[in-house]
Amino acid sequence: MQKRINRGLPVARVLMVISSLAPLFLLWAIRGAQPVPDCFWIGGCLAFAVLPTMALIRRWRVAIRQNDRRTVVVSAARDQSDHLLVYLFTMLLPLYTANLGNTRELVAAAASFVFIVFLFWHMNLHYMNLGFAILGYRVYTVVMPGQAGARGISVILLSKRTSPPEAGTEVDGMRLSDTVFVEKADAHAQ
Amino acid sequence: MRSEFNFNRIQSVEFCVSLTSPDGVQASHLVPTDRSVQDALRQVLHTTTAAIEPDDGNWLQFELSEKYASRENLRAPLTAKEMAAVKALHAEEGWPTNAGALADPARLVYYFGVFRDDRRRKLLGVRKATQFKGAFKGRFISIIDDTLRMVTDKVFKLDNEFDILITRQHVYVLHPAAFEHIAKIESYAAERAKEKTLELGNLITFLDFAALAGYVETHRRAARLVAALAAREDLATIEREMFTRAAKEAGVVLELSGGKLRPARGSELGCLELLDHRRYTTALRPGTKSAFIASARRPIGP
Repeated sequence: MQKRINRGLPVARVLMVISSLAPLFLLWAIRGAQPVPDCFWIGGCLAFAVLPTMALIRRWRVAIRQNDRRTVVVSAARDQSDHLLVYLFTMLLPLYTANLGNTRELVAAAASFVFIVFLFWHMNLHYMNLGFAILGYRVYTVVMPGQAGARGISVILLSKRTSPPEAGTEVDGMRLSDTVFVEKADAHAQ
Repeated sequence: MRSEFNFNRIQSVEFCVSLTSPDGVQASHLVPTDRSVQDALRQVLHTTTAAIEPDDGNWLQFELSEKYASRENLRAPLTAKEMAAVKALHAEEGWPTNAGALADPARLVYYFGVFRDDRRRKLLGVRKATQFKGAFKGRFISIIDDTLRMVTDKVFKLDNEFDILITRQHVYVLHPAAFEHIAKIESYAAERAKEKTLELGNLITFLDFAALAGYVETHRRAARLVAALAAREDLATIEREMFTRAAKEAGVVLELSGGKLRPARGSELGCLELLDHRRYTTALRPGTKSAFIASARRPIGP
């Protein structure tokens, strides 16, 4: 049976998804949760906010050091920075407004957190990170040319370009995961 | 070749493999690599360029019907019909990333490095993966801590040279047999072999190609000769009288059928070889001319 492709770096992708929830953990740390003493709750939230983000930074640096890159040839591209809004409304706001007042609510929030992380991991949505937006990156979905003029694979390009790259453009992409690339000139500037 | 790619200014190196799925479909995948592998691929490319460039600078044109040695210095334009598979390989870009592509070496057909220069020109170095498969099947000995040990892990061994280099204009061939496999030359020749044979009848009107068509369908060598003839532009200038005389001298038996000539049973391949300048006679001494078959030949002069 043929193995599925585009499923590389599974652990790194989980960490990237959790990293994208760093703002939520910061908000939760500020709010506190009734059933858990603050020293554990705040420490845990800060750990969840910081450690996955450090893993993401580590992955970024490893990619630069190993020269892990590919030329992303553009067949068609569109700006999908509005995905951040989806991220806000599907992840951050519902979880932030969840009631953490008792143990059962806390467990329910944790369960929904796990479901959301799995969904975003499974759908390769680990690029939705407020950190990227803060650093000035826009999100572009790029369709690459396939064989004999057919439509090729789609990848996510994080770039500081203000408009989508035109068809035929070749972008030097640093690989964060199998489907997410950072335009290299921008990546090295960090 | 050096006008088509700047070998001294390589800007990026990617590594891809072509795999067959269990249902027989062949597809390419990009395998992420680190600097060490990229440097090794650069080295393989440099070794290949040193070996592939002819000493006198004159490239021989690849011919479908030619039998080549294991190493040659050949070139073929990507515009040729038979280079469709190679041209498609060069044009493809959207390989899915698949770090696990090397997990099943039995599915590997060939691997290739994708090089881009400072002008964004692309060059592919392709290698048939026989040694790669062997690397997985066989055992390796390496020196670790001054003692010989068997390497039990799966090992990927890059070859020293690529079989072919592909630029946007040409394919450069170092190992013809591997090239023919990668370019699917046999498939191209066999494809529509019967129709191609019948089409030759429009150019050489004194020969009955209907009789040859059935033979070509079942003989690979004949199919390749027909594919080579189909690409020729001078067939219409062949004269019946001269052809008949040459056939008699070269031992090709012709029969008359409905006003047209056709090869007798057993002379089908000889007839095609004669048309492709692969049967010839010499007259260096008195008496009967000696006839020869040239499985490999090179044109001299214009």
